[in-house]
Amino acid sequence: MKPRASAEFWLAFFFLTFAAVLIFVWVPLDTGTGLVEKVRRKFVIGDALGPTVAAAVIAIGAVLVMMRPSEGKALTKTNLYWMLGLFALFAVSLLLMRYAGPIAASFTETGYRPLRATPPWNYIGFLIGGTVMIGGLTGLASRRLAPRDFVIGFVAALAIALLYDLPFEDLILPPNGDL
Amino acid sequence: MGVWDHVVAGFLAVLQSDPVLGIPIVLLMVLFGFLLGITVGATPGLAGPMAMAISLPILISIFGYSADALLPVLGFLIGIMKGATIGGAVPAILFNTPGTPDAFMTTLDGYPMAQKGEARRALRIAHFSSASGDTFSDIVLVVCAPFLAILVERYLDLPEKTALLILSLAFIASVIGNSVGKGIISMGLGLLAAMIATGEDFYPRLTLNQPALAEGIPIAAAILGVLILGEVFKALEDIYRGEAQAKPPEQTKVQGGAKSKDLRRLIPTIGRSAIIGTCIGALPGVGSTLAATLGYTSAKRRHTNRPDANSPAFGEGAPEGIAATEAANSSVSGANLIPVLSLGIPGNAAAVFLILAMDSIGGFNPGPSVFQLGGGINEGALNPEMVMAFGIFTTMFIANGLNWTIGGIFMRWVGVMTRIPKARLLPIVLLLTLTAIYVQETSMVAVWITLFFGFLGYVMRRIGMSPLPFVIAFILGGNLEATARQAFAATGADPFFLFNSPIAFVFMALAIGVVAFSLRKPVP
Amino acid sequence: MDSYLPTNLGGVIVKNFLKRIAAASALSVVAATSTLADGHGWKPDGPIKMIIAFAAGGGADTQARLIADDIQTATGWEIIPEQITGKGGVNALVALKDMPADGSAIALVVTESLGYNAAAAKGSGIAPDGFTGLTTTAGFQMGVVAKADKGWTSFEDMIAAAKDGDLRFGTMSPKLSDLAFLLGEAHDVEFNIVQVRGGRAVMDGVQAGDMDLGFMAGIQRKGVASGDLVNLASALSAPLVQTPDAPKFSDLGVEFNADGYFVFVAPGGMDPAAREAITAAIVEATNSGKAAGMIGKAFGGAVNIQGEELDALMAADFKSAGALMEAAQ
Repeated sequence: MKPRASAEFWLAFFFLTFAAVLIFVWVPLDTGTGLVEKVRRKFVIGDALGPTVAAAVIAIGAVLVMMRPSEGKALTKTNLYWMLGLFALFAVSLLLMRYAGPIAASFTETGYRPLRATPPWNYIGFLIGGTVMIGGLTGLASRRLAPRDFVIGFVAALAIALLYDLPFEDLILPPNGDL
Repeated sequence: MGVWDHVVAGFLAVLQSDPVLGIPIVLLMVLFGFLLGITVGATPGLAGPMAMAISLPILISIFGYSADALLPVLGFLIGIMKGATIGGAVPAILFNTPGTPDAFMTTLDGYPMAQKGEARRALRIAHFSSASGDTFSDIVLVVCAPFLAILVERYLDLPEKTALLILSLAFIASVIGNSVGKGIISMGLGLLAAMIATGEDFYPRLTLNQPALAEGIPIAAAILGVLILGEVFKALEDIYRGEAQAKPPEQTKVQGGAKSKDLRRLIPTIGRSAIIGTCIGALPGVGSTLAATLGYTSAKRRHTNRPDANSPAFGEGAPEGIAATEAANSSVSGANLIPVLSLGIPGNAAAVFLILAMDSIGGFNPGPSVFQLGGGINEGALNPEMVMAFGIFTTMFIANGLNWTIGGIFMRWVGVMTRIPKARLLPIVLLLTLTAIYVQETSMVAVWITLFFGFLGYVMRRIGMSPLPFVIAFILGGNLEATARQAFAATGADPFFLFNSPIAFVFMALAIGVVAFSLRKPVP
Repeated sequence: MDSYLPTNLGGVIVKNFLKRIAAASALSVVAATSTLADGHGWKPDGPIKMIIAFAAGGGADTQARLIADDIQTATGWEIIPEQITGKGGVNALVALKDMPADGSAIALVVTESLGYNAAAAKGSGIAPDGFTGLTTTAGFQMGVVAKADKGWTSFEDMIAAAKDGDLRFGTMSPKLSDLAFLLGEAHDVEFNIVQVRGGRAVMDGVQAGDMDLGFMAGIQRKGVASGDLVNLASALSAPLVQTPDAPKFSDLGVEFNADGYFVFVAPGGMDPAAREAITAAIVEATNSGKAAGMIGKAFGGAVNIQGEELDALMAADFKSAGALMEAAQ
């Protein structure tokens, strides 16, 4: 098999398997009603029909890909490492965003919850997490971590925070709606 | 109350909106949106839909959820949509980098002209063609959308409406991208995502017992994730791999205006391209990039057959090349709203965000009922949705007016945006997007869901699967299932309801036909 | 006051609280402002989250947001509205259930959410005793409505047409679908019941001819007034205000009805001081200011059932759901 055809084949195979799992396992186990139901002495469409049709559409697409393979772009190992790198960065920055405020506030008497709408407490998580996210992403893409990028990240995060927080009383910055 | 009363009321709704600094707020919002759109369009790596997505939560916080909010919010978004199309030509001409994908063909003749010191003339031609195409397309929209809607409402019953949705989805999946199979997989995934937690039964289906999913996937999270985050992830990786490190283009002198004789000569080219763009725009899913390509190639063929002594060849700085491209890609935007307003079916990413705005604010449900005279209340009163539709048309023409008057001047100012490096800009766009999601959903889970869809969008781009069928199917999925349920119940549980009426049967046959026909496309 | 109660008893309760409201609403405005103004009562220690179980932009959503605005203006409390829609209010209730019961979270649902829908959504763990009822805001003027150009002037005309061929009956919840079924059964006809999402969708369906008739909960008012739509019957235990001559469901051989209200609830076991203060603030908002105007126009005026009476109403609704479901099997 040519490399292009092979990549397309595995792609189609993956989605065929996914569709089969959907139709025969996930949908039957995870829906409240069947394909059709008898309600009030009449048949109505049940909750399983829609997802089954969606899965069938995926399966049809997969079969068409097998029949007519096209350009054969495939995920490479580098793509996977890239995704892992991004994921790690998001995990770190979102955890910082979520917990930096509460950790800082744990040194106060009241804890974070009563302070969650009070500056500067409500900005702590967003600014730290946002700075790391922006600086880190820029660094990742340009292959070098420069302090300058984090400064830009901080300024940008601050600008975004002020953009949402200053004019609008009812908008809540991350993570303060979860607390 | 006749159609004309609605036209007038819609017009007045715009002009009599609350004044700010003496200017009606809707007018002001169109202006801001338009200027932002040009700026964003001129910035490589940013596109109109991104700006629309990020503005939406801010706009909703300003204007709230009342019916009064619709026109200012939609006016702003329409301003962005229109501004971005002309903005995309700026870096294409000045720096040989298209600001938006549909401006790629503009670089072919625009940059050579700029190199010859005719940048100002090229920009003027781009602006004139773009504004003409856009205006033409809007006129077609205003004339066609109401009639189409009335036809649909008069002749289509529930089964036919179901079949029409299926036909639209099949069409979109088949024409977007290079592979029909992948388009259909993308569509299936979108339908699947739309099914999560949305069933009729009280059991939250397909949620794997995760309470976080019990309300379904937040629409904005899925759409922004796939369309914006996916693109950002991919663009950043391209930078990482050094693929997008094009050298900063050298500054060219902006001089040499266009003579009006120049523009007059181009009118036939613009006219042909505008018709091509409008026809393509009216079909859901085809998009402005294809329109630009078709407009350009058709003009090129004509030009080669009948060479003009006064004009250089295509690819060497022919004004016709710029005119054909810009007229075609700009005339998509108006016609694209024909299926949106008359059927509720979005045809491209910009339309997706307009529908998202209408959905979030409420009070305006795009679809055939919009153009019902009497609007379901009674014969004596105006149909508020139809008034709103004409208000939207009015904002489009205001945007066109701005385009004709100040668009050209503003275009020349925003060339500087090209100098912002993507590696700096895109991470900021990403944080802005995530924050926009958070203020709407107020939960970190929603942010994670958005990132999940971002990775999905990234993978789709890497395996050559267009994300647009996913997004459109995700938006229409709930509607499709609901209409099918109603049609089935209304026909007394007839299992063949999709094939029993001649119109529904024709739609279904066309749906299968369009997939089969697209399969014959040559493999690139 | 719902379905399983004999209807006359339901009627008595309705009359009772209507009287009560007439007396109370005049009082409550004064009472509410004074307790709030002198501040000896309860105050929230942060923003109050107001969950709205209805789609943005509709009448119910507008009502909730206006009430939030009015309360904010009157008391200075910060109220943050948030949409949690779906499953007839069950999603909103599931989200509300585990929030703190200190007055920092309330939700606007309908009595049906805690009644029929809670009973039907067995896996969700929702029941009235898990919540604190605050107050209702308005009732539904639920009618069986058709377009005038169908040519039906009475309920009997419609039944006669239904005998000639299946009619499509639009509903917007499983409970209403059950009621439509029972209505057909009582008159020996079968409707093709088309269940859609939200009252607006029934209205659009009837107008577009996709449905022949349907339940409408007040949205039909303008159309009926202009002669475009006809109220064929009242789905309530009482006659419709606009069309008092239309027969009630009890007159038509259906022992259940669609009595229902918009209701504010909070998580169970709420601090009584908070319950009292928030209830008073909502009652005031529904009887004065922007919200009152809107409620008057869209739902025919405020109805504030509170306290024990509301507890009893919600418990009765929940219990009667089983009987209705069984009858419609």
